[in-house]
Amino acid sequence: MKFIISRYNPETDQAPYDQTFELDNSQLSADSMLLDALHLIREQEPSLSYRSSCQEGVCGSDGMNVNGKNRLSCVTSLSELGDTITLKPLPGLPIIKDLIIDMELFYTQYKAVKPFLEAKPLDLEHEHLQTPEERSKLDGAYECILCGCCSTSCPSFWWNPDQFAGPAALLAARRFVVDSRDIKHIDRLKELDSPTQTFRCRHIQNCTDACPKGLNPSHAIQELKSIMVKEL
Amino acid sequence: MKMNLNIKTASLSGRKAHIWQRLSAIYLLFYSPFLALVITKLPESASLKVLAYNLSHLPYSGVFELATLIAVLLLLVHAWVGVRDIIIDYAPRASVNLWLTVYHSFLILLLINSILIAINLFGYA
Amino acid sequence: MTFTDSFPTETFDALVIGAGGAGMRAALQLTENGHKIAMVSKVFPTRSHTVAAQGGVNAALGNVTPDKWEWHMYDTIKGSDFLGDQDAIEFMCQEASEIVRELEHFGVPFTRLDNGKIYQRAFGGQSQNYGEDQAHRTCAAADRTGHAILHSLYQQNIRLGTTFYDEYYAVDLLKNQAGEVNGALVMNIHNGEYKVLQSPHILLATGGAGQVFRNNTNASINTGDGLGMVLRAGYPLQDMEFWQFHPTGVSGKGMLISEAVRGEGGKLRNALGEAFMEKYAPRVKELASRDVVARAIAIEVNEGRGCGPDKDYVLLDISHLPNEIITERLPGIREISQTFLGIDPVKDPIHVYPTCHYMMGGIPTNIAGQVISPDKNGNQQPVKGLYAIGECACVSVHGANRLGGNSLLDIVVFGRKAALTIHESLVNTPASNNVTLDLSAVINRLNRWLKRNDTSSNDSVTQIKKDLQHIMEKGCGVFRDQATMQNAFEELQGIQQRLENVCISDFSNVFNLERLAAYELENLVTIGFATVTSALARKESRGAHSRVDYTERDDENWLQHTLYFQKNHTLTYKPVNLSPKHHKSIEPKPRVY
Repeated sequence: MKFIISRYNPETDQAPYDQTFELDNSQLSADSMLLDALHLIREQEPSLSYRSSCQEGVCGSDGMNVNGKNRLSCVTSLSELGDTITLKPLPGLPIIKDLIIDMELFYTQYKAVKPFLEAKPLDLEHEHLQTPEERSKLDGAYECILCGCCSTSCPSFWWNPDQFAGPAALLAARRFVVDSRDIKHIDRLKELDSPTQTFRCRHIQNCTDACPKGLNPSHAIQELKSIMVKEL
Repeated sequence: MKMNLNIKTASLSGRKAHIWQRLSAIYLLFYSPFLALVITKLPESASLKVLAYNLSHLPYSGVFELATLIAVLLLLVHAWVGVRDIIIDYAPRASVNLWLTVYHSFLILLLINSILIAINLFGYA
Repeated sequence: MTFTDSFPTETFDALVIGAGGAGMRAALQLTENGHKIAMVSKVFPTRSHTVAAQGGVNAALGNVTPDKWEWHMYDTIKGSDFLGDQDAIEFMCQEASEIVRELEHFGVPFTRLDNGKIYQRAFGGQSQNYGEDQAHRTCAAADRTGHAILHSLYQQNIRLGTTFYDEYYAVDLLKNQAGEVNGALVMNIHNGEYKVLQSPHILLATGGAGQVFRNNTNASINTGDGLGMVLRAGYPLQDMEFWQFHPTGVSGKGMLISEAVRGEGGKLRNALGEAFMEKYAPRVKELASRDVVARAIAIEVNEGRGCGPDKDYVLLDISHLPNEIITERLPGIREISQTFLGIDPVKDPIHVYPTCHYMMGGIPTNIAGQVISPDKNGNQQPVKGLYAIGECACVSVHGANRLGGNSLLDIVVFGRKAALTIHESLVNTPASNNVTLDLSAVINRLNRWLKRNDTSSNDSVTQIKKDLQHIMEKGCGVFRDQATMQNAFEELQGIQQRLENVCISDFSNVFNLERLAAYELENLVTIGFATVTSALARKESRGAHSRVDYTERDDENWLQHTLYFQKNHTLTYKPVNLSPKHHKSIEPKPRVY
């Protein structure tokens, strides 16, 4: 199997370049994941850098661009990728080294939508009540792992990563807007109502296509827009 | 970390622009077939002037003229939101405001021009 | 180049190392109390391994079945095979209900019952009324409870504006001239620059070290960094022979298949189709303690009743459950089975085998979160300025075997408690920043990894780590005996030798992951020694430590905690606390499920 991997070391390289690695099929099994292959390549080339941690798709460390699509390497089976695999860092954010990008802007956007519950005062004797129906509104939003695959596939985010919240942050925003326990509902809607926030989304749907957890940020943003039109 | 885009139209919320764009789209969706239908029912017209004359002498022409006036205004609104978004997205960061000003001036000229054409065609003084 | 002792220094009221659930809960408390803290994490906080916890967090809320914290305490002590400290377990179980309501208040999206209260599921080893009917005590957010808790705690830290040092690696603890811990040397992984973070209060929350075993449910970051730092600073580790093998890991790969699967009604079957747990735990079957179920599976496979071409796994079957239960309460498990086994558990059983999951041992602490070490006279004394919480700590609330759902509880209860201890101390004695720290040992360590390879050796950090994992799996697995462990100890000495000689080949500064792996490997090797040394000495079977040559529990000689010191691999022991403050003592008795 052939791997064309984008390399870049800021201490020695002017610009990223591609390096080709070969792995013998005998080193891999039918159910090997892309991350397994990367570990093997790192044995050949210890300076190859990529993030990874849980190796089962819940920590969100190992987002990368695989054959043109943003994915998590640990839950991407080699069998679906063909004989030549092209790996690049997630697009649209600065590259730190090889497949590692600087996600600072992504996190800044996340933090800017106030992604935290503001509930009524804490009562240590009773939890806040929430019906199963109210709780089910959080499904499809709270599962986000902040891997960045969505926002780094979003053209609106590419143009203005310092302005536009991006799909991940807006998905989080929607999660708190619809959480029945939150008391800042209207304030949240007002803050999201700027030409550079929610309504900058043009529903290109790259985010939904890219999400490795099968979430649908585009739909969530659509819902957010409807809620804002109805309630503001 | 956050740079300020300082868009002068920021006073107009995303939501209001969104609502105007939707409303105008819905209006134009109904107006366009209506206009087509009205024109096909007219006797054949040799020129734009004759077409305008025929249109302005329809029964209920006042209703038609009002509908058309609203359609022109909403078309401008619709285009305004769309192109504004494109400028915010794609114009170089430093000149976004310049482009928006140029664009708004262009829209105002277009509006004045449309009124003049209407007066000319429909013969109001 | 070599390192000298001039590093940029920053000072803080308190330093939290590790941004999992424990560290994040502590940081939240300290920031809320107005202290200037630094939260140091080698990964972005939400990548910490708490994120992978699935089943839930135990608290006697009594939302589904009647419940009392006293019953929870009894189950935890029994589950620990009576090695857990009863005062600490009592404290944790008493705090549980409040701490879970607090988590809910922080935004954790718990699954709900029809009456709007938090859903609680059945988990192994939980009973009503001191060992009677099955209790439903585990508060769950589908099967993503850890993710829900970690993200909510991070979000609340964003709300309060906690200072994070993301992607900074803590290399070693630093002591002042009086020999007190007073800071830590950290490396910015982004550019390879080192910094001294100086503070009178260092809270270690560095998590587990499951990477010491080949097959594990742990993330690759779980390399026991805090444990290595503590050993090098001259303090002991406690009960390192006790490693939990989770009964149901994906066979051959190790991903966790939550106990929630059995809690919701999943059955374990061998190649003959027998629901074999009836033989091993006739009353509670699949919901026995984890050590019991793990041994049962290992015995089935050892006796030739495993499934597959190599007869090396058993089946976990949930195909008889209604589809809604699987899609609503076990969606993550379904996803893992589909991704890694190509199996949809709605239709086909999951292939499982025990896999290393949790370290019951760790840095010895008291209930207040302070690290405890024997003084010259052998009296257990708090180490000034050093605290530990979560999986890296051993309070000990899990004893010889942890109950499912008690880990997420442990991290938040003691995360908050340790932060309050530090807060009180800071109120009484504000932090002073006029300290000289001794950097000589850590500089030697940094310089050692600058050594270039001038031999023909092609040994590597990765290869040594792999060999270490094999040795540990072979020598200290589910079943142990004197000969294999002795053999493992000798092989570890070979590993130590190789570690001292190996060189790295990458000397760059930006995201140098080879250097990072080298630092981590040093920690893993110390943990290997701690485990094998402690396990060799304990001549009994208790909880997760099952010896084929000493099959019975021996309360007369071994109802005590092991303390391992790195220097000459020395062991000492300390008694188990059998006197809770409010409840009457629970006397050790045979453990039957």
